Amino acid sequence: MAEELAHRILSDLSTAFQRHPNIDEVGFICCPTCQHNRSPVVVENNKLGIETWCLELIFPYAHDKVLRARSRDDSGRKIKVSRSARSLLEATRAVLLVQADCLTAWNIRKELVEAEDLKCIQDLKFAALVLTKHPKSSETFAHRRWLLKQVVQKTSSTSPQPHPVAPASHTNGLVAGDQASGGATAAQPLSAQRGTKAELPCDEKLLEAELAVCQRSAERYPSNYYAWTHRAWVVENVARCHYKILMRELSDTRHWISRHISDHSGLQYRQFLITQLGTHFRSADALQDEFLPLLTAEFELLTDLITAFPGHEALWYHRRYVFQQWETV
Amino acid sequence: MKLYSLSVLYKRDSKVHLLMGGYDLQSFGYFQRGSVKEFMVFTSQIIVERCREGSRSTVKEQEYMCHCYIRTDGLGGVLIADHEYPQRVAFTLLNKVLDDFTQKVPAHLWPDGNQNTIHYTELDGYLAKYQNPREADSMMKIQSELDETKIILHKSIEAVLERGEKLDDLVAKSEDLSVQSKTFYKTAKKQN
Amino acid sequence: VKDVTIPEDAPSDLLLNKHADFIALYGAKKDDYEYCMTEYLRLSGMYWGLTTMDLLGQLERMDRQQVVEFVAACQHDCGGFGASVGHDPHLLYALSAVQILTLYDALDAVNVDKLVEFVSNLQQPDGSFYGDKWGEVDTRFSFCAVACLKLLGKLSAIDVEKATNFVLSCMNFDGGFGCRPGSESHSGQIYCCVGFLAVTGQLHHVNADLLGWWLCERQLPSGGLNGRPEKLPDVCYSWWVLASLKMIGRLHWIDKDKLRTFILACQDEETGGFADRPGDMVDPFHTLFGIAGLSLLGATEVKTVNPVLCMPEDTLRRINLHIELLSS
Ligand SMILES: CC(C)=CCC/C(C)=C/CC/C(C)=C/CC/C(C)=C/COP(=O)(O)OP(=O)(O)O
Repeated sequence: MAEELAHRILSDLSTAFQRHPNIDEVGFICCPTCQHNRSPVVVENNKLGIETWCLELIFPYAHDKVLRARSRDDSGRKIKVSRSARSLLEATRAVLLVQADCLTAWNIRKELVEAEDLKCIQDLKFAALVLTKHPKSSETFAHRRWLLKQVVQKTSSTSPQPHPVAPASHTNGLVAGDQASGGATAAQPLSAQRGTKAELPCDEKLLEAELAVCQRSAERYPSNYYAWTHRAWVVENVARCHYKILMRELSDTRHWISRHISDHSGLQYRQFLITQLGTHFRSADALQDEFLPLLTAEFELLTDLITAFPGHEALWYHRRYVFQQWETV
Repeated sequence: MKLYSLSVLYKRDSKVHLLMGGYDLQSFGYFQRGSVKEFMVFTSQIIVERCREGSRSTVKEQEYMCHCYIRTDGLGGVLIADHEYPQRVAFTLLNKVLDDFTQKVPAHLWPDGNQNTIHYTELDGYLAKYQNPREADSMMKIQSELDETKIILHKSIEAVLERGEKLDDLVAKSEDLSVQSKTFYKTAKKQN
Repeated sequence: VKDVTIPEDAPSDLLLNKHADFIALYGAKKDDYEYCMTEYLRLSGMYWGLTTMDLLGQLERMDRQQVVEFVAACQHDCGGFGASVGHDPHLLYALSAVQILTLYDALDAVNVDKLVEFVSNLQQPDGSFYGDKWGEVDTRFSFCAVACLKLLGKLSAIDVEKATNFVLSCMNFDGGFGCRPGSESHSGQIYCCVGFLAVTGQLHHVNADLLGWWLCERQLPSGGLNGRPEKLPDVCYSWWVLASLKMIGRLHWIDKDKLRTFILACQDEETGGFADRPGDMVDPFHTLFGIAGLSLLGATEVKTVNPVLCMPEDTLRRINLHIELLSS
């Protein structure tokens, strides 16, 4: 009985996704008991709503389905993914909308991507949807990084790469081309890397979309550690710390932090950008002429914010950083 | 730095009712906005009920700061903002809004007024404009006229309640809150 | 300042037996939706519960055989452990498994060699660790790897020097550490990185005064600790921050009485257990870190906890495991 109902709600969910391919937000509707005869799954304005009473029905049901895909036979050997892709997509989707940190469910989706039953872009879209409900789910961001690596790998193997700019610190060798930190790019003159003409090492649309996901998650949960570290990862591994992107990010986040003066993660992201930019200015002249003005501007921004909005620890922490950079120049 | 709601209320003989409210609930989930709005009204009402005429007070409630100014003539304003929004700007804005309201809505309409009988459409505009307190630059300058020491700070809603009163009970008893909002309140309290 | 106020009627004594009852009962309602929701971290949940019971001196109330059998069933052919039966293997749960089995002196119930292989296979050329085969990197995993191997007496299975270099590359100008190079300092990540250095005997790399200062700034007027600037206090940071301070010999830099008051105020007098903040819902995670925090503050009603591994000192003595800390 409960099984049947859960099954029905799960297919309601699937129908909702089919009928509304542009669902851009998911949320739960507080409702302790089933009060009417209509489905607990509603779509309004492209927002997907799930009534809370049905969560304890569909979650265990879908969770069980996911686990059965991972079950072992009597001898203890693991049975390879044993269900149809479609039903696994449905089940993992239901699980993750409720519990976004269920690592096994994300892994099954990775396997479906590898088996080409699921497109990376499609799953990036789903993971973005999950983040509208669970903006600080570390596993969701980790899954995105895996998906992005797949996409970047594919595009870089089909189109010849211009020499990417190596980030200052680790890339962990995770991305296509496996640029060891520092190494391969030393050959390229800095001026070329900084010139506005230098081609971006990545798909601009992909980058924009990813930054937008970070922005939205940062907005939903203050000092969102995961959203901001993910953003830094994207700049390092998708945009390869390209000079132009670093500068654009520095200018784009200026307004945001002025409106989120206690968000230490947002301010710290600027520390990441500034540190990365610092490595682009290696000669004494470049440091003097380009890096110092940049630090001065940051000082002025902080002075302004600290005077207008007194009493915010985060601003002072950021100021410590700028001082420290100043000292090292 | 966010403003969520700005309401004008009227208080007489310790009875309080809402005259007009403006809301900016973009930052909340789509399906939560209805309940959030009900709670903003509910909270504003409780605070005006419990604070004295002629007083300025700020009540902290979790992530929110409720700034409240009640004039001696019973007209009150409550501005619900986040922790980042400067308190001085909040109170200057409340002054301004109550002045403006007094000019545009005759006082004899206040005692029996409600959102349907009162025609005052400025609140959303004020909310939008002052989302960025810098927009209120001139206000930032005249703020000095406000004596901050006279603003009473309460550390929670419980702190403005009378002895023996419990917020949970008030929520449960309220006729203005829907069942959905009451459940929302209970689960929001649990999940952290 | 963003902070909480401690209600006047908040508990101020340790409700030791209530907490033990809370934990003992927690695992009993297995059909519960909440229980199903947390299955993805079950082994860690069990570690939190069992360690709490041990610190309270009531471990014998739990069913040892059942636990050990369950842990063994979570091991995969690759040697790693999933959070629960059927869940994918991950370093996070490898550590929890080893911690549980160490508490119970039952490491022989699983394939230790395979486990060591699993852990060492996750190390990358730059010294960092993947959490699992899918390639996520985080200093939390560096800690899990060395803590696990240390408990197994197999630290030599990995390249400690490279692993150290990676962890040190995550150190920030403020003396703290983040999850990856250049990431924001966070008390939880600091615990992992300082813990890593403690396990591998290299605490001299820490700038103890600088880091100690940052950690002390986490204390708020309510007495509670937060994990980062301008965040609310949370009982779990009385572990991550306090344990880090203990490791670097700066525990005396915080106001212990105020912190104790905050931690005690997070107890639920009716159900037992600790919540993140006064008045919120309790759970085993905050219960362990509340009690372990009190132990670091010198509570005599509970056993002494080891600040590096978050396990009872007597357990570590039994297996002859000693970790040097910085002196104050
Ligand atoms: C043996 C023990 C005790 C632990 C095992 C080792 C691990 C996994 C430690 C985890 C440490 C930890 C808590 C890391 C923090 C992760 C992180 C970046 C959390 C982000 O925090 P939020 O959820 O935003 O919380 P705050 O808002 O309080 O910062």
